[in-house]
Amino acid sequence: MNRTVDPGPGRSRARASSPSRGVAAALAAALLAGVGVAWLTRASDTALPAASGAGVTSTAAPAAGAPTTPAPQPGSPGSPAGTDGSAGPSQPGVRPATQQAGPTAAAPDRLTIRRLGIDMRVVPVGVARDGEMALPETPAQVGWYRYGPRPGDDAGSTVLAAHLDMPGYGIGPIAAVEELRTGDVITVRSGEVSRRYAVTSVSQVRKTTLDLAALFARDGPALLHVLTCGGDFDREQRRYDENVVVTAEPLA
Amino acid sequence: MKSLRIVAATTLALAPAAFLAAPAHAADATVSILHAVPGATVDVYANGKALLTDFKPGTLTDPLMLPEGTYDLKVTQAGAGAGGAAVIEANDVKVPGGANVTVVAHLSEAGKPVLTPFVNDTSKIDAGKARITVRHTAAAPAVDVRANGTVAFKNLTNPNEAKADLPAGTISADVVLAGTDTVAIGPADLDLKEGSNTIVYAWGSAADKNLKLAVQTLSGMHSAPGGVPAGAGGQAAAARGSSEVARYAAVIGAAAAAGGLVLVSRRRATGVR
Repeated sequence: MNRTVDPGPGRSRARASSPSRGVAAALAAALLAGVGVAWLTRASDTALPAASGAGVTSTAAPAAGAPTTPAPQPGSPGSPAGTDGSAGPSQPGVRPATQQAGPTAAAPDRLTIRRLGIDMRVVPVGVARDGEMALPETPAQVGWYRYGPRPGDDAGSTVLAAHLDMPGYGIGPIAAVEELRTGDVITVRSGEVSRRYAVTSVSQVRKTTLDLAALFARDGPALLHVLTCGGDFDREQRRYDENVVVTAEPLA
Repeated sequence: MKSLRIVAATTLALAPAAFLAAPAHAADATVSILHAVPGATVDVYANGKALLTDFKPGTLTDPLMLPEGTYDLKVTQAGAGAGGAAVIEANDVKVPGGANVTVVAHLSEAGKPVLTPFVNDTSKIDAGKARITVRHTAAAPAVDVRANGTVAFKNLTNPNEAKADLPAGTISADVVLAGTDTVAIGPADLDLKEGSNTIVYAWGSAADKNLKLAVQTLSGMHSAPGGVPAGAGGQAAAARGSSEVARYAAVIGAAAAAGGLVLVSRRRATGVR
């Protein structure tokens, strides 16, 4: 903005501008304008820290080292020993040697994140030939890792993942999850039952440092993880170098 | 798993020390006992002390933590007492520390009751896979075990075992006389759970026509998948890239325009030139 400066008495001669002052003023204006545009066009800062190379933090307890089904008991035969040698009350439990199918919650079939307008079908998936999680081919659907816990289980991580993009399809609806904020609600429906979760973290992690054992933990606190890809895309390998990991806790 | 171990250790501390000389945590073995002798409800003694009473055929104990070592095992008719006649007696049965073992009371091929300890494979299983272990503990000749009609384990004899890691899922299993299609047991649906070892026992007596399958499941050996490959198109990265280029252009353009405006207007104002 320019104004003609009123010289006032006794200053008429000294008012001539030097070229350097003009340039300085121009630079200052340029800087202000540039910073202003940069600030206005900044990426949304609602996502939590950008990729730092750190692995996913997990509050889940480490996976069990020794197998067990069911809980082991101490062996203490003859305690207290009766005169006829009968076993005391510490006798181990005994059950029929058959396959016992316990009741389980239904598999998840729908993922909804209202604030982002996400409403996607969920299908069970397993392991691909190369040992990675198999995802539904279309970015329109979400895969649920079928061998792990499901919503409603009282321990372990339910893992959902969807493609960020695909040749021929474009960018998938899951792309919006990077805008999730702590406290946002995610709803997962399993048949008749809908369960709500609150987002506790959104992080972008280099694939090489992703703690997969923690992510796919089957024990520890009941959690929900929603994953997609992010970071840089390698056009030859057709792979991204990072995962976006959303973690959420069940709401009562 | 952590909390289970803590419970086990605490209870051990309270139990009378008569049987357990070693501290609870030192090289314990995890031991389950399977009763696979048809027709006899029994009591089981270890080193002269009662371990189980009223133990019925076709049943399996919960896992017990036992200190490693050798044990004198004795099986009597239920209620016969520690000094009672032995249905089965096996001395110096080795229980290795840290191992997961199932001790099976069963009939030999000739029909004599015996005790066989089997060490269970609890090593890690690849993601998406299940382990199946088959054990021949029946009074019967050599058998083949089939999965969905195809022979999976050939020529299994009493008291031996075979195992394999397979894709997880449900199979229809049956047991045929080795090299034939003569079904001796089954078919039965078996759910081979991912990350678990499903242990199948053929037991009973061919002569008495009471051959059956018993199943024990050990879980917790699963592995996570090797990654989550969730994007192969690159369009999102491209969109982010081009929007960044546009942004830089806007920033530079705005700066240049603002700077230029200031310079021009200053020149006009000073009237230089």
